[in-house]
Amino acid sequence: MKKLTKKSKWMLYLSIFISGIVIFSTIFYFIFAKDNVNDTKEKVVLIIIITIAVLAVLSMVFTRIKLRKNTKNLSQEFFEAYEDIADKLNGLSMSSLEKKETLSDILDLFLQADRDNRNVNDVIGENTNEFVKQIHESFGYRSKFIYNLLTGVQYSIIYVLMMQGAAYLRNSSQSFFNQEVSLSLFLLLISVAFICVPFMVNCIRNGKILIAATIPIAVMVVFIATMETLHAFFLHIPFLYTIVEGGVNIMPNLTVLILWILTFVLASLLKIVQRKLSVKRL
Amino acid sequence: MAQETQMLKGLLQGCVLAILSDDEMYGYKIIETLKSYGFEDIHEATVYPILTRLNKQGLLSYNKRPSELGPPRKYYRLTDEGKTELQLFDQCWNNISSNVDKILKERSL
Repeated sequence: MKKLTKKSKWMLYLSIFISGIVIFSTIFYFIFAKDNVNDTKEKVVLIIIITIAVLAVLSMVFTRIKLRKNTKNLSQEFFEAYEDIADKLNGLSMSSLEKKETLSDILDLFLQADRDNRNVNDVIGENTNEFVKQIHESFGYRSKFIYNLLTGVQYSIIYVLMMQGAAYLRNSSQSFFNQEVSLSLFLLLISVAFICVPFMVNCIRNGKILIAATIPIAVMVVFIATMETLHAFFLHIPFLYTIVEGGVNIMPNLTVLILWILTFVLASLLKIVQRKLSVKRL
Repeated sequence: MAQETQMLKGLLQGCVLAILSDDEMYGYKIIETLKSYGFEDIHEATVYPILTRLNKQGLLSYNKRPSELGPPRKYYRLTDEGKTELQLFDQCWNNISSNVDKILKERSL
């Protein structure tokens, strides 16, 4: 049985750490900041948040186990290189099918090279980043900016839907479309989708796991500090007051919900067009 | 150095097409064949992206077959466009190599 690589260990620690923070802060909030903690609806929200956090860790464990299972015939040296390539392919503007096919091809190459007792550097060269870059370029040029923008749109829509769902669970006496969510939280989630997620993915791709772990904590600290400062000193400015105290109904009716879903589908289609165009330009 | 690498890639692309002109072959075997012709420093990291690019350009197609080692293996072969491209490469290479040969011979005299 192959050992868990250093990178895998760090990834697991990172997911457990972030999930732990989410669970801890949620419980902390419900115990100390809420008077109506015994409310069944509040408990449902609490259980859902904890379940999502635990599922995120389990998904990470499952992904790593699956990767090891698919590569059981590889030696430790080749497995480490394979795992590194798999991580580096994530976040690149390739479809999941292209990534899956590329990894299958690389596994076949590695298995043969391993059987012939070759050195991993003899197969992929000294620089894994360069190898991954060459693979990416072999699919044609794809703008990373456009890809990240489209992914940001998709993440934003998922967050918006989750936020609306959570608001409805807490206040189900009103219609799903009548829920108002905090404007500051909405802005936070948008910046997470467009800035934090791509930055974290990039850090993980480049093996900077500690920096990746620091990003969500730093974002939360900056967010809380900003909100507290605005709350303490700047509430007299109408614009800032709206940001701190204001609410927004991001899904006021069925038509808007359909528009959000259509935007998600459109972003997926534009990604496909981006891939098709890049192949044509080869 | 970058130009040298680009030139080598262009040449390798032609060589891969030439290797596949006789028979279909899988990636690892193509690399072994290149090595057997003297490209000993060539490794998979150079050739695999070339195979992907040629496939995406429609110059190669492939069949997947089961492999005794694990995942299904891709057996590449030339498409009609690939055959035309190989002819172009052949003409272009003959032209370049004869010109370079002429220069080198004259300079060494």
